[in-house]
Order: sequence, then C-alpha cells, then structure tokens
Amino acid sequence: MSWYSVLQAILVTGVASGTVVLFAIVGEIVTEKSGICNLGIEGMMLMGACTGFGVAFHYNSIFLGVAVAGVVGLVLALIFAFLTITLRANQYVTGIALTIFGTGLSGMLGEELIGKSLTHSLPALPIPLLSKIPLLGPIFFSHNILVYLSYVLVICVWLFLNRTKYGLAVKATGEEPLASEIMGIHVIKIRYLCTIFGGFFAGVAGAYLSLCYTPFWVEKMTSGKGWIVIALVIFANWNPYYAFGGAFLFGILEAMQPRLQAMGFNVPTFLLNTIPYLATIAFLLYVNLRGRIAQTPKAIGVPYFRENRD
Amino acid sequence: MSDILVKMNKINKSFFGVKANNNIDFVLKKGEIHALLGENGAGKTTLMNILTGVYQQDSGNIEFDGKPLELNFPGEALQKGIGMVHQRLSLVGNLTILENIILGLPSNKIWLNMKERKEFIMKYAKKFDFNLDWDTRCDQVPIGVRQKAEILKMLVRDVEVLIVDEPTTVLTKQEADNLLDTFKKIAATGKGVIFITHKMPEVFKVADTITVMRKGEKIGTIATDKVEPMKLSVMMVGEKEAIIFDRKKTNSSQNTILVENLTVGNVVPTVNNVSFSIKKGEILGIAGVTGNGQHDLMESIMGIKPYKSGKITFNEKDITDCSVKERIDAGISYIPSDRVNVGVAGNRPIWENSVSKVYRKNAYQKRRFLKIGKLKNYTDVNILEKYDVLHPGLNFPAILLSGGNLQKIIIGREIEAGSDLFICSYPTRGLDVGATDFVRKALLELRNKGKSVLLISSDFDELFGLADNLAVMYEGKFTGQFKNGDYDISEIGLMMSGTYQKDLDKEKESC
Amino acid sequence: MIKLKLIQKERVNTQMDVGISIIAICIAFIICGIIVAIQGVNPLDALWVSVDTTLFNAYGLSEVLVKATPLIFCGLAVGIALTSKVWNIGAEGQLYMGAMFATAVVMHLPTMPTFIQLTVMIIAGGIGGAFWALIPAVLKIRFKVDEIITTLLLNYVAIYLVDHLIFGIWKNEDNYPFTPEFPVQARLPLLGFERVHFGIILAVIATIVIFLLIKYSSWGYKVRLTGASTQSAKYSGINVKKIMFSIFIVSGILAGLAGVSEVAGVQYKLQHQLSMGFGFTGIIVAWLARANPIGIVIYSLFMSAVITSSEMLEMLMGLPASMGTIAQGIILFAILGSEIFKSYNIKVIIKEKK
Repeated sequence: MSWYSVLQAILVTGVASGTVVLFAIVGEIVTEKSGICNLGIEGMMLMGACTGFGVAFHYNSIFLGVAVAGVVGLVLALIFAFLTITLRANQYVTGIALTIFGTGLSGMLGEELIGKSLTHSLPALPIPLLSKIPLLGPIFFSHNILVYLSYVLVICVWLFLNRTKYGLAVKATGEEPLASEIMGIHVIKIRYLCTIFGGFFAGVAGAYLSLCYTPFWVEKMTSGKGWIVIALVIFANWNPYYAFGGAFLFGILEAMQPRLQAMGFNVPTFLLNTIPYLATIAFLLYVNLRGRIAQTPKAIGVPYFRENRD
Repeated sequence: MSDILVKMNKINKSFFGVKANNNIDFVLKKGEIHALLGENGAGKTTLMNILTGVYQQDSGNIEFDGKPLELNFPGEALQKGIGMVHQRLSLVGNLTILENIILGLPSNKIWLNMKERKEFIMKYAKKFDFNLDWDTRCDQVPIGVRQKAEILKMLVRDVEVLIVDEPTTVLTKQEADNLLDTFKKIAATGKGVIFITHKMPEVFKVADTITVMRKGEKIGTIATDKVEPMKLSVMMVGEKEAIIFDRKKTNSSQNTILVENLTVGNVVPTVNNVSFSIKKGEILGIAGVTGNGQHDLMESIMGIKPYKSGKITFNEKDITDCSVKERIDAGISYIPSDRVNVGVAGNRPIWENSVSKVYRKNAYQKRRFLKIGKLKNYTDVNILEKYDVLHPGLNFPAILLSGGNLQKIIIGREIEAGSDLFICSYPTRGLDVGATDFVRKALLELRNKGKSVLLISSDFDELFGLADNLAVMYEGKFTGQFKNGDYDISEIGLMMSGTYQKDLDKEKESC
Repeated sequence: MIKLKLIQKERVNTQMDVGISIIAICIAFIICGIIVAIQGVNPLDALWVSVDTTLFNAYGLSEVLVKATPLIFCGLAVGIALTSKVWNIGAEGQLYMGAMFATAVVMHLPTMPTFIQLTVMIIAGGIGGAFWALIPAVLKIRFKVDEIITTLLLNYVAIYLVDHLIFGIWKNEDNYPFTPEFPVQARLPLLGFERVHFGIILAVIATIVIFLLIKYSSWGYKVRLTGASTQSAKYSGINVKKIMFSIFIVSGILAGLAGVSEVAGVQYKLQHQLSMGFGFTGIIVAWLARANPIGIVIYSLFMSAVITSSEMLEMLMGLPASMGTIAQGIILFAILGSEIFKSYNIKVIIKEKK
C-alpha cells in the first residue's frame, strides 16, 4: 500500500469515526448555549446505541433504529431537564447520575443483543461529482447518509444559533436568563427544548456507533466517548464548525492507531488516547492566558428561577 | 382621553417588617419628565419595581392608560408599554448591541435579516439621536454606551413609560448631559419619562415635575419651575434636627496611617497618586460619587488589591509589602458596605462570624484546634450581649439577622479586635434610624478614645457630623483635602464632579 | 388557575430532611420493583433477598464493607472539596493515580517487611492522588481555569496512563494486561471477616480525622469560611489561595488512598477497570450527604449495599448484572429530585381566572 492510500484510508475512517462524537457535540453545544450543562452524554449515547441496535435488529430497519435511539435520548434528557430545571437539582451531579443510570439500563436491555449482528447495513452513497474530487471526494463525500446528515446538522445548528431569532434567544438565555425573561423570552421553555435537542442527538450518536461504525452492540461500548464530547464542546469553543474540526481530528486520532500498528509501528495507543483530554485542558489554559474571549455561556450550571411572587 | 398615563394609588410595601413604601400616590402625565428624588433608601426604586411588576404591592392599585394594571410575569410590563432601565444593566454580554436591542422583539422574523433589523432600529435611533457601535459586543463598550443601548431597547418597543434608575451615577458629566438631552427628546414625543435620582442639579435641568420621597414616605409633588433649590433639598433630607455629635477636641500629632503616592491599577489607574494621613483620634471622611476608586483605595490599604506604586506606613511601620493577615495583626479593621457577603459569610453560624478575628489568638486554640466552647462564650458575652444584638441563637446563620444587628456584630467584632484604624465603607447604608445612630455613636466613641477612622460615605449628614477632615475623590484622585467645615456642600459637589480645590480657591479669590 | 409557589425555608430541619430522603428512596425502590417485576421476578421476594443477603448474611455484610471502603474515601475527597465550594469531579482519576503509585512501589522497590512496605505504599498512593489533584489546583489558583472540567478530563488521562503501564512495562509474565500478584507483604491485612481488609479501618480513621479537622481545627474553620464567602474570608486575613490549594491536596490524598485500598486490599494487582466508578459515586455520596463526613459514611454504606445486593440478586434470582447500576441511578434521581422539598416549602395557590 502506498503512503497515499494509507493516508486516505485513515482520513476516511477519521470522518466516519468523528461522526460518532460530532452528533453528540453539536447537540450538547445547543444544550450548553442555553445554560444547561448535561454531563449525562455517555449514558444517553449508550442507551441510544443499545435501543437503536435492538430496534434495527428486530425490525430490520436502520432508520427506525436511529429514530428510536434519538427518541430514547430525548426522553432521558427530559428526565434530566425535569430534575435540573423544574426541581433545580444540581446539574453536574444529575448528569453523572444520568450516566450511571444509562450505563446500567443499556447493560440490561442489551444483554440479549450481545453477539448479534445486523443483516444489512447502510450503503455508502458517494455524492455525484463531489466524490470525484481527488482526496477530498473519498474522504468527505463517499459515506453513508448519516454522515451527510451530520454535515447538515452542523450547518443547520450554526445557522440556527447565528441567524434566527430563536438562536438569539438561546444564546441570551445561557448568558443572562433574568434579563432575557424581561425581554419576553421563555427561559424555562428554551432550556427544556435545548436540553432535549441535545439528548436526541446524543441518542443518534449512540445509534450511529452501534449501527454503522462498529456495527454491533456490546456493553459500555462508548468507552468514554461521552466525556470526549464534553471536552470537544469546550475545544470547539461552542461553535458547530469548530466542532466539526474537533470531531474530525479526534476521528483521525482513533483511525490512525490500528493502521499504524498494522504497519508495524509501536504506537503507545493509550497515551494517544489521552490527547483529546490534554488538548482541551491546554486549550482552556491558552484561552485564560491570552485573555481571549471564550464563548462559555455565563449562566452555565446555574439553576434559574424567577423571583417568587404571589 | 385624559393625559394621565400612570396613576398609582396608596401603594404600600414592606420588606421584613420595614416599610419601604408607605401610602404612596404617584401620577405621571404624557410627555412629562418626572423626577423621583430622594436619598438612598428612600423607596424610589421599590416604587418603580412595583410599577414594573418586579415586586407586588402589599396594598394599593395602579392604573395605566386609564385601565387597572395587573402583571403576572416579568416582562409583561414591557409588553404593555412600561419599560425600566435598572441600575444594574441587563444587557447580554456576548451579544452585539444590535442583537441585544432586537432580542425578543415581536416584529422579528424567524430568519433574522440583520440589515433589515438594523434599518428598523435606525429609524428609532435617528428619531432620538442615538449613535452606537451596533456590531460591537456589549461587554466591550463603555458603560455609558450600554446605558444608551438599554434605553434604545426600550424605545424600539414603543414603551409609553420609560423609567430610568440613577442613570448618571456612572457617567461622566458630558455623557450625563447628553443623556438628559435625550430624555427631553423622548418626552417631546408624548412619552412619559420617570427619572430616579438623588442629584438635584439634574432635576432642575430636565424635570417638569418632581416627586420627593424620604424614608418610604412621599413628601410632595411639585412643578420644577415653582420650587427653590433650597426648599427642595430640605424636602429631600428633612428638617435638620441638628444632630449634635459629641466631638471632643483631640490633638494628637501622631499619625496612625500615612499613605504616600498610592496608585492602583495597571492600565487605567483606579486610584491615582493619592496621599493622606490620619492621626490618632481623627476621622477622615471620603466624599465622592460611588465608583470613583473608593473601593480600590480601601482594598489596597487592606492589602487585598495589589498596588502599582506608593508607600503605606502604619504606626510608624512600613506595611507596603505586608499581607492582609499581617495588616490585620498590625491593627487595621475593615467594615465593608456589603455586610452579608463580605462583612460576614452569610450562611455560616453567627458565632463563627463573630470570632473571625479572635480565633487565631492562642487563648482560643490548642495545638491548632479551636476551643469552640470558649469561642461561643466569647460571642455571647463580648459581642452579642455587649453590643446588644437581637438574635435567634448563635448557631443560626448570620443571614437571618436584620441589617442593623448584623452591622452590630461586625462593628463589635472589629472593635473587640483592638485595632487602631477602622476603615468603614458606607457603614449606615440601608440601616434604620436606631442602627444608624448606634453605628455613628460607635465610630465617634472610637475616635474619642484615640483610634483612627477612614469613613467612606455618600451621606453628607454623616460626613459633616463625624469627620474631622474630608477628602473628595473623583476618578481615582483626591480633588480636595481640607478640614471639615472649610467648604460647603455645593463646593464639595463641584469637587465631586472634577473641579480641583485649588481652582475653586482661585475662583473665590477672583470674585 | 392553579399555581405552585416555592417559598425558601429559612431554617434547615434535619428530621424533615431525613424523612424526605427516606420517602424518595422508597419511591425509587418501588420503581426498581416494577423493573424487577418486568424481569419476571416477584419484587417482594427480590427485596427480601436483598435485605437478607446484605444484612443477615456474613458474606453479604462483608461485601458491603469491602465496597464501602473506597466509596468512603472518595466521598470524603469530594466532600472536603465541596466544603470550600471546590468541585473535585476527578476522584476517579486520583484513585487510579494512587493505585498506580502504590503499585510502582511494589514493582520497582525491593520488598520490605510488611509494616514498612504498606506504610510506603500508603504514602506513595497519597502522593499519587495529591499529584493528580495538584494539576487542577494550579490551573485553578494560578490560571483561573475552572476545576470542574479539568478534574473531569484528567480522570480519563489517569485511566489511560494506568492502561499504558499494565499493557506495557507492567504486564505480567503471561502477557496478561495486569501486574503480577503483589507479594504478601504488600497486601493490606485481612480482618478475619471474609474479604474485609485493613482499608476499612483506614477509612474510618480518615473519616474521624476529617470530621475533627473540619469541625474543630483552625484550618477547618478557614475552609468553611472560604467556602461560604471567599470575600469575607479574604477580609478576615485568610489566605484563600493557600486554603484552596490545601483543599485540593487533601482531597487528592483521600482519593489516592481509595486507590491504595482497592489495589492492596482487594485486588492485589493493578488491572484495567480497577474501580467500578467509585470516584463518580463518591461525588454523589458527598453531594447527598452535604459533605458531612458522618453522612458520607452512611450514604457510602447504603450505596454499597445497593451494589452488593444486586450482585446477590444476579447470583440467586438470575436478575441482570446491571440491575445494581440501574437501581443506583434511580435512587439518585429520586433523591436529587427530592432536594427541592428540603429547601423550599411548596404552596399551592388556586386563583380564579379572570
């Protein structure tokens, strides 16, 4: 194999692998922009992966699997939203509880699915013309439809946040909830919607993992990807486009290891795995040192309640 | 249709048993600039918060445009046409000025066409003569600009009533004049403007009608052209019940503290080359509009804020490089204006907060462990009883105490620590008459005992009554330093807005 | 129109709070019971089996103590940080580092007599945990980087570091990804009650020490004041940065000890998945106990009982292995959701709609 084809193969797998986290990152960006930090991504992804695989296995429909996974993620996020927004429970603790719950429930529901395989898979759909571009074509435009969907999601979320009145309201809610409410914005409603949006795509991310990327189900198969998502949201500075970049880099990192090993290089796999975490910490440090304005929503993690009045 | 826009009848509101508004009537007409004048704590902001639905009145009713006004959620007042610009501005920092102004605007389409939105806003901006950096993030523009953005935000919502709370305290004179002109333009379009302030000159400049409030009561409403400034100031502060402070003569020549050329802040100095000294048995009062560097001055003397240059000598010892703890041990005490968060840790028990100065002494520790019983006993005897604090029990959180009782604990704690210098920041702000009296007497007693006090206050009764010497602070500098009584209130007012003492003297001579 | 109004309670009513928590746990049990019933097992039987095997059965009871040991350490680690409003989400990583440092003593130093060997390992483990907590401490205190994220992310770095070692230079002679078994000198002595080891005694000592330090020492007073109001602490002459720093270090040491106790008291080797999320459960334990050391012990025992009984249910009644994790999650949700009733009175207002 020439170095060129190895490079291309790594980058192609990088996109496919990055898509897993990309869905969840973009969802979490919206959630966090509204001032809610949901640390339960790992749990929602696992539930998505498990239920998505189960449905696809029993009903022979990958799309149905993905849809159900999204809804399952959404329902879990709804529980989270109810606890943290309505009942004002601490977001970090509730997020961790959600991860524990999701890990357990997916383990139970998925018990009978271990070792099963799907009868069909999503076909690759090379996009006409675009896929013919050298290097870029195979890397970005010869994947299955879910990968394209993630591209669309990135663009849509960016447009939503930066070009619509609702996006404006979301950003204001995450920053100054009281001021926003005075301007006629329904803070509680927005936070609920943004949280379940994030949950839906965490579920989809899980389904993409178990239905397309691996494709099989095994307990705790996300192996920490949910936490990578939290890191990459920060690394992307809450910008969906940067999120695409971050996810792609993470994907390449993942794709590189087996290839290099196969070629006889002695790669310290586990040390490479620490890179996304360390890079995020380094990024945080850099932002603080340079005094650059990070887009961290100011009200994140803080429960909002308007003054109690009669 | 009548030209009455807002009518508030017999409004009552109490907070924890303290009357903030007592039977207040208030009427606003169309096209009127109505000044709501009164000292801090007079109940002006409370009344307006009731009008905008932030608080619910205990009794009384409100009519707006001839109809009874009932508000159910924040923001409803704005929808109905009553907008208020609060002292603490409510702009969203990470959005641009334009985005902030259009936020939540009912005429927004789902897809925002920023060009069209800008044009829409510009219509209003032109009408009222606003010119702002539309595409700059709000947290990167000066406060004056933000204030204007906030006012424009109300105007594009076609409010009929615009309430502005103390807008000029944070502005330069030029900015303030500019803003007052804007009010005139707004009123000229038939809207009503309510302008909350404690500054008389501004009132005479723009207001058509003045309502004066004092300690929760309405003193009266008068047309501006029918009132003398003197009479108005009497309405505002009340008949002077000549407060006689027992100020014994003390003449010590010994400095407790000597501050030389103190400068704080790197890029823009917040304290700029300030020098002063306080002798034993002396109170130095610092007058000035809040936010002119008083806070940083105190913090740097306490050692919390690092300073760029300067020298501080305390009891003949150079403490320039000392830590907070070393300064406390040397004998500096601080009585902050934010009692609940800075003066004490509100959520901790009363006893823990009462001993935060003495717990370090050997008598209360054994091998780094605290003698809790002894500390509680100390709290009981030396603080709570001695200073006559009304309290639910010393294990309850300090936040449950009333402002006056909390201040008694803080002052008691500092006095018992045996310090030589007491830095007090607005020590009577928000206290009732009895507590205020207690605080002032305590400070005076300290002075008479030969201690030194640095008193920061905006209450002239307090400054004139207590201080031996006064200094006026403006934009980090002392514009004047003199013996109490050498200059009258109007001259001090000029110094507070940037006129130097020496220029004032020259003018006097030339007259 | 019916409106709910929340009125903040002025005073904490401990009896009421305990009552609310018990009701929440009961609700959680009912939900768990429904899940158990769906699995085709009579929930009452399951409940009886769980109680019987964890409380009235020597092995079950011993397992509760074994699993509670690292939980108490981690709960204390997170709890002491919470006392001064520092969020240490990184107890899991500090646990791994503690285990790693203790293992390094076994792997790279000559075997010493039991007492010295264990003392050195415990010190090394404490240093390991403290070292891992030092990074977020410096980042927070010196560079103002939020500790919630940094401690969270460092967890995984620590786990991968351990993996790197056990799949690399520390793998055992048969090429399995774990270290060779520790020599007898490097094992915490058993207490003669099934698998219960000396770690539980260390945990109890740690609890008492932390309790005394927080409640009665001058340092503890400073920590509480700093946590309640940094500003107030500063003006009282407390060096807030120093206090914060010491908090991170103590927190790291405690979590590191959890690692030592696991590796030298239970597993006798360093292996992948050394901890079953004790660091994370510790966060929840500390939060639920409101950072009170005694409460941490009680909640740790409770959580440990839930985990142990689910293992018993798996063995005896064929329930899925994940039932314990699910039950944990549900109990947590229920208690978290009930917190609001502890700090607010809820008043129902019925208003005529006009």
